[in-house]
Amino acid sequence: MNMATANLLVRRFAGPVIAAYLLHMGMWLLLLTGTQVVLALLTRTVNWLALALFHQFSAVEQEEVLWRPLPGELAYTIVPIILGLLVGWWVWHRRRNTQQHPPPSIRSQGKCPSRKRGLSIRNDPLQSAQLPDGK
Amino acid sequence: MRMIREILLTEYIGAILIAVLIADALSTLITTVVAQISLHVELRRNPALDLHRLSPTYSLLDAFSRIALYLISAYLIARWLYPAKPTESRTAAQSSEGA
Repeated sequence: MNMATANLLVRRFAGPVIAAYLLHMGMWLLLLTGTQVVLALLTRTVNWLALALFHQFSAVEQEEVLWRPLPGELAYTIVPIILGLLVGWWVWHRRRNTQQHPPPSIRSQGKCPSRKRGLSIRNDPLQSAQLPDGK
Repeated sequence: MRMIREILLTEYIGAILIAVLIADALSTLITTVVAQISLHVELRRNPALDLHRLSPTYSLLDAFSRIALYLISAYLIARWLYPAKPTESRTAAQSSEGA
């Protein structure tokens, strides 16, 4: 991979990767909050089963859910998700504008030089593909 | 929602997100297995070792719930972005192309 290809890849995927990182951060925080609830449910169930079947108290440490700070924690998860969607929208909007109005350098050359390598930002296979719902 | 879906689909953001969530699940699985193995090796080497640690059952339940949530969310996003069943309009377009 030469420098031009690497440069092209970075320019093509930097925005989507940042957007995906922010979305993942939000999802991760959301799942972390969800894990507390699921774990509390699981530990309660295991302890109840251990008590019912084997007459054994506290088979596993009981996880407690603190319900009061839960809405605040959930609110924190929304911030990176919205930021990620905004970055994604910005990348999408910029690429759409570039496709509709290509820069003068590309227009004067007649074709994008990087298209030969199959990595052109204007030759994106998914860009021309329709959405599965056909809209 | 359609615009969000289009953004996630055409910019590969959704694909990257699904891949990272699956990688998270794998990473959690490997971390838990390695932690349990290293703990057992350490306890076998030094049985008198007093580790203030959570029980293995708790660690396994924690890992299990996290892996399940990661995989479920990745699956749901994948099903939303890439539905398995083609819609009627797409089928009609493909049949018109073939004819």
